[in-house]
Amino acid sequence: MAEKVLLIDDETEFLQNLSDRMTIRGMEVTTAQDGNAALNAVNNDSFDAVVLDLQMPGMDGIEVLKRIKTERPNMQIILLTGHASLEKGVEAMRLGAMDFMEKPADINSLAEKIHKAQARKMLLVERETEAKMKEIIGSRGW
Amino acid sequence: MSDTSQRDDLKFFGQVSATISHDLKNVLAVINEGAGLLDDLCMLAGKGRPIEPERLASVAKSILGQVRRGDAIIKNMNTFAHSVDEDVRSMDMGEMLTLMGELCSRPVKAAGASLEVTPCECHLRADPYGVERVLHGMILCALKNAQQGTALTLSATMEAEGLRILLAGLPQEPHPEEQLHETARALGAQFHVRNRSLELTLPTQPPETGN
Repeated sequence: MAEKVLLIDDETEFLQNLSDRMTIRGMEVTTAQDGNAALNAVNNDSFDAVVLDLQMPGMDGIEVLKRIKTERPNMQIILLTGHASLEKGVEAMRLGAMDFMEKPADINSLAEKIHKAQARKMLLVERETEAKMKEIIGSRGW
Repeated sequence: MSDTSQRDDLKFFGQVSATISHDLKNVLAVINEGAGLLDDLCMLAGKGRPIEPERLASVAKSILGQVRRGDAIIKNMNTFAHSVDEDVRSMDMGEMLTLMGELCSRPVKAAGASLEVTPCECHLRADPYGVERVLHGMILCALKNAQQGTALTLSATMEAEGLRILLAGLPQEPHPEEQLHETARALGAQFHVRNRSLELTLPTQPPETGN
């Protein structure tokens, strides 16, 4: 099944080229150039993974990460950054990011992480569905 | 120079270097994806999918543009690195303001602000590194309260009392740290906050250092 990915970066050419490469690899890609556009996309669609640039003008990557995690706690977010400091990486993971990659990123490593994100998301959705089913069965006394 | 001053001096050099390295990483990331896309298109062509010449031309244009962008960043880095070569020299202040505007473009953009440098044809004999440090400090101070859309302007004019550099367009009255005042004093300059602007007046001749 094609992975649905939201790609967020303020560098237009980077966004276009990476989006094309991910599409060639069979992924369904939506792009956003800033935090607000990203939050709109997350609220209006469902994604297997979000690939997020850490440093963006206005709302930065950490802020976008926090907001997405508040709205969609199960969302799998991979942070991309030009400079991966240990401090930022730890902060991102603490806030619920699934992974952290440094630019320039290797497309195959990124694709692998996206694939893992999709599997993890499916598992979380399955668990949620199972819990809901148990709750319904319990409440009806079946 | 005291230990604290030396540390602050190094912090400034570190901040500028970190910004440059980050900008270069971004340039490399765009080139990496462009070259990778060309590779992907070649792979697809090998499997029989025709290549669109327009797409190739667009990716090649993007890569060439990024090479020019990277070259400009490295040129600025080189100019900045050589600013410590001489304690005092004659400077084209138009070029100096442009350099500092470009070196600060990342924090300016991150704050959602813009910085316009007004062209000028003034020259000044002073410590280039000290002038860069105080201009950098002024821009970062102005960005502390910047909001989305804040439009800053940086200009220089020659006045009777010296070269006046004005950073205007701040959204509210700034509160520069003492360290910025100290850096200005070391250049023999007058530094003031006026009507949501930062004003620096540099003497036309550098102060005696006593060295």
